[in-house]
Order: sequence, then C-alpha cells, then structure tokens
Amino acid sequence: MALLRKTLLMKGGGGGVKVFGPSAGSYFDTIGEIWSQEAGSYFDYKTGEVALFVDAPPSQQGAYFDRV
Amino acid sequence: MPVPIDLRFSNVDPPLPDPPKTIYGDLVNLPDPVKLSLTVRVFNYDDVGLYMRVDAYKAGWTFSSYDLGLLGSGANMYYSMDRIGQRAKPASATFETITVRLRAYTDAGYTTLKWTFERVIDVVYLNTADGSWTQDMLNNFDDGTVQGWSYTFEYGCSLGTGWFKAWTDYVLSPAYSLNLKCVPSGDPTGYSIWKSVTTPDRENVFAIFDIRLARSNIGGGEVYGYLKRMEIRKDSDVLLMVGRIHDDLSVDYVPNHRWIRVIVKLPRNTTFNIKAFIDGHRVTGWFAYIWLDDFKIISKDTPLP
Repeated sequence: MALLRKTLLMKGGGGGVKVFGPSAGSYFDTIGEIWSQEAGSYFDYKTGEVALFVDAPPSQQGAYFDRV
Repeated sequence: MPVPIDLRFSNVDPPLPDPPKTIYGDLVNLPDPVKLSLTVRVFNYDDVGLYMRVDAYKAGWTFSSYDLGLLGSGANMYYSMDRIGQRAKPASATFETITVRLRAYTDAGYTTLKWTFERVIDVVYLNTADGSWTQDMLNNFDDGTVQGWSYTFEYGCSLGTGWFKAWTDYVLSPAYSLNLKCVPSGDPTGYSIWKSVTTPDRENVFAIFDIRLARSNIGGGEVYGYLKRMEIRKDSDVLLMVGRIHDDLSVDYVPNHRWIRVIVKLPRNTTFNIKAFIDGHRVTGWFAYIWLDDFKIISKDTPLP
C-alpha cells in the first residue's frame, strides 16, 4: 500500500502551527489532518527546518489482545 | 553497514523510516495473564533467499518464537504472530517497551544464522476505569438495537440467508452483541461494519473494539472459507491491520471463534466513519461472521503513562 506523502516546511508559531508549501506557496493556519506522532504522522528533522509529512494515511499498526 | 533485512510495524516501505508505533491495551476486562498478538512486516534485501524467525524479549514477559519460512531475495511479507507474548496483568496503567527480533538463516533447519535485526515497540496499558477517562460512547447493544452501526459488503459478499442485528449467541455483556452473518459469493470476499462518529476535542482519544470473528460451512462439516485479514479503518485510512495480504491458501491468518480486543488512537474533534473490515478467501459456500460488543470511545486531556 503506497504511502501518500507531501513534504512541507513547518515553522512553529505561538498559538498554532503554520505549514508552508515550498512550491505551491500556500499555507494553512490550522491543520486538521495532522495527527499526533503515534497516530501515524511523523517528523523528519533537517538542518534548521522540519519536514512534516501531512495528508498521509496513518501507517497501520497490527496488534491485538485476547479478550477472554 | 546496515543489515539487509528489516522488520516493521507499519505499511511504510524502506528507505522511509518506520514511524514510531504504540500498541494500546485497556486493562478493563482483560484476562490475566495478558496475551499479546502482533502482525509484522518482514523484508529481505539480501542477494539470496533467507529463512526468517521472529521472537521478542522483555523482562517479565514470556515470548514464543515464530518460523516464517523462506523469504526470497527482494521480497517482503506480512506475518501475524498469534499470542506471541504474555505477561502478568499489570495492576495499573503502564508503559513499557518490548524488543522484537528478526533473525535470518541460510537453511531450512534454522541452524546457520546470517543476520539479526531488532526493532522496539511501545506498549501502553490504559486503565479506562481509573476515573481519569471520559467515556464518550458505549455501544453494548443491550437494548436489542444496532445502535447506529451499519454494514457494507465491500466485494464478493451478500447478506443471503444471513442477518445484521443485535443478537444473543455470543456476548461479552449480556444480553446482546452486534452480529453480521453474511454469505461470501465470490473470491476474494470483503465485508465490514461501521459507524459515523464525532470524536471529542481532547488530547487523547481512543476507540476500543471487542471483536469475535468466525466462519462456517453452509450445511456444516468442512470449512470452505478462510479469514485473511482484519483492518480498523478511519474512513479509507487503515489504522490497524492484523493478518496477511489475501492469498488462496486454505489457511486463516486472523484469529476466529474467540474474542479479541483492538484499540486505535483517533484524531480529536473529527467526524468520520470508524470501520472494522474483514477480507476472506472463498473456496465454495460458507458463512462469514463478525460480532462486536462493548465498543467504546474514550478520551482525556491528561497524559498517558
């Protein structure tokens, strides 16, 4: 299953986060589709910047417990 | 130099990093000892085929070893290790990290070890009865209704002489659970149960599924259908997958005829369809089943263990 991925540059801001598309020039004041790291989005730290993978389906995890 | 084998807990392909993964459990109504099952994906980048073996280690746990067989050069595979590990049930919410180990051998007898690869995964046991959680949704079906759940035949399946209803034959909390009984009409077979939910605006939101799968032959006797994988989806996003990619072997890759629990973390303040999807292999006429009981959405703003 392919992981849809967009790499954007992220700069932290007080009270929220703005994401700038480096080629498209667009940005979003709020990012409803960014989940926590545990939910599947993740961060790739680069020099002075953060590459942020957004709009990507959460990568699956597979575990279960016996219930009875 | 990195070893030419890999083990992952996600569907992300190398060379992208495997995202950090966390397994969540809820101590409420879990048996003692706690028994964990795990689906992993294994890669072989060596120039030759290798025989793969997986086990794990962590103090306080007992783990089994699984021989996955021959994996060809350049190939990868999913493998579901039923009850790979168990430990005494924690007394309270707990965080721990287990190490899963992949070893590659050059021979079918697993005597000549060539490579070893390890990856850690976090396990968080929630205690949703400790007073810190808000129970945003509980569907126990004990009013005899389906409580907003629906079903979809994704491919190769029909209701036939089956049903979708609250039913009494297998329940965790009497008197009812939700039950879909359907008739696979093609191969592959795909069916699901789902519900539209809106999550609370809190930091930590989880869905807890207690699920029972089963299959039987129409008319009894030999089984002519097999269960290959189960996914928990948020709309079309696969949050959790256990089992393997579809094949035509007469083998089950997901547990059946017993209750299991899966927990997924959800985004906050969002509306979507939460879905349990099953993929099966039809040989000839069979019934496919799924039961759901005590489905919950829980949340809190305070940190997890």
